[in-house]
Amino acid sequence: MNHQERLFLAIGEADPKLVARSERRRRSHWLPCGLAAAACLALVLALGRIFPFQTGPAVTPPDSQGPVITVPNLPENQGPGGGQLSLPEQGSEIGTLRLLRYTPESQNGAVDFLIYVNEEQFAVQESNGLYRIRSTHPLPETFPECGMDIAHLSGTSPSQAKAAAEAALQEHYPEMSSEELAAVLPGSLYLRASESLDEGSDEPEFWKAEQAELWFVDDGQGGTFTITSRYFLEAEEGLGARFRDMVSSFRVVDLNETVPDWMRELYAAVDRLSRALLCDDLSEVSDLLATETVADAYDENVWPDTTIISVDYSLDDDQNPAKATVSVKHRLNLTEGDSFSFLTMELVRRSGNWYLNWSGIEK
Amino acid sequence: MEDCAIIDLYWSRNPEAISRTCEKYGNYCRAVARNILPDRRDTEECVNDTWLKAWNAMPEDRPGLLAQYLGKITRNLALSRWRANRTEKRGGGELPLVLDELADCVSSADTLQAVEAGELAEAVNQFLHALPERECNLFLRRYWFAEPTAEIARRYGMRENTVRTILFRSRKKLQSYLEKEELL
Repeated sequence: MNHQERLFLAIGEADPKLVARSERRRRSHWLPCGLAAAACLALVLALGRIFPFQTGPAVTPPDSQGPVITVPNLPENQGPGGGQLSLPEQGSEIGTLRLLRYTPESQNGAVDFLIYVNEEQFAVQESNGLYRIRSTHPLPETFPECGMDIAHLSGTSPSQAKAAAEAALQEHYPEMSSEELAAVLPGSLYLRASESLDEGSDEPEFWKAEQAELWFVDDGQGGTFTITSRYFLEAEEGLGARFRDMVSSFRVVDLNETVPDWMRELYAAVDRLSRALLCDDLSEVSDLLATETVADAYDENVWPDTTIISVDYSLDDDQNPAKATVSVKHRLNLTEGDSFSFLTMELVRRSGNWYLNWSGIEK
Repeated sequence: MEDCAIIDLYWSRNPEAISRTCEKYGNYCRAVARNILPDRRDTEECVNDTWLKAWNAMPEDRPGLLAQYLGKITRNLALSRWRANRTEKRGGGELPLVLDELADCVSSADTLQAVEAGELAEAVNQFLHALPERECNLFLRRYWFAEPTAEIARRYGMRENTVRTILFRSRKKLQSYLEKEELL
């Protein structure tokens, strides 16, 4: 028996529990229609201006470093100029989008979007209308550059934008595909471009083959948002997955409608409570705790390692609710693969204010 | 029928144990054998031999996880049969590729021959426990089940290239681990 056969036999003695665990198939990434859109609570970007997208899809970011976008403080009132928000279009579900209160002055042709980015993990920079999201823990220079870019093309449909992107990317990325394993952003067009892999080449090299994923989202006003994530092959399950999580939270926002006060207050309360619970520090949210609150979470600060995937709001009444059950879907770290957990909170509304009744972690 | 009830049948020497096992785990063991043995008749014989071996082994054995227990028997029988076939030039299947890949870890290991099988198995098991879940799953699908990488990619909703890359890194880690443990 040669060495490799001996090793093969030794692997056969693996712990049966590990073998059994490997039988499980992957769960679908995408949430059922009734669940909330993806959200991450740390940073909300809302952009009130459209910048013409001049150089094609944002596969290659501009060299210039734009100003760092700071986390907006949530103003007391709605945005200036009577800017308002629309409710999501998902049946009777309320709260699909977290309320956006960072609402710049509306202007003709303005299109806003929101995306949730965990600022513990990523920084956002803007330059000439191109938004660049980069890890706060950059990889060594020997690794291919990774990041996510968001740009806008006015007067261009998603299909036109996709065709232009395909043409532009063809040279560098010979492998193109429009098929997405799991729809991250339903309703958008998708393109994946992969650097060619030479099957005959030395294996140590192909792990760093460059990958680009692009989503083309109709802005509702004749234009397209282009979201581009770039990483290398081995980072697909790491950075690539985080980018996809973020992309799934992307929404074009219509500022022409309003949301009621109770909803705005609910979103604000959930925002603060989620962070406080995951940080295991409730000192800043004592005003949101009911008299006999049972606040359970992880009993340790897990916030820096957390990616929030979505926030789902269920209400007992969509006009004048007295109770809300909120489920914050999150992932603690990527070494756990697709293992998600849920921070579930029940909030009650008394005298116009929301209070946490109980919270807990569900697997 | 629950696994514990099937095991009870084995322990009470009731021949129904075999038909129940075949009913519940026939396809499972067939899949394990098929990855190693390309010939369908070989696969069937290997699966039938599995029931016989299980019959002889229980009692004394009382497996906690019956599927994996049977799968391991099938796997070992399939490997033996594959080796016999190889001498008759009737090899093939996924196993040669799997073994080629494993050769990355141990090809130059002159010392491995002297290592006890149990010691090597224990080291591999510890290594697997230390791997992240996803990586460990991929490793076992490939090197325990000898599953093709395309099938693994489908199972976990990944791209095949990603699977191959992760496996490559895992093999390198295993090699380093075995060297560190002075088994290579």
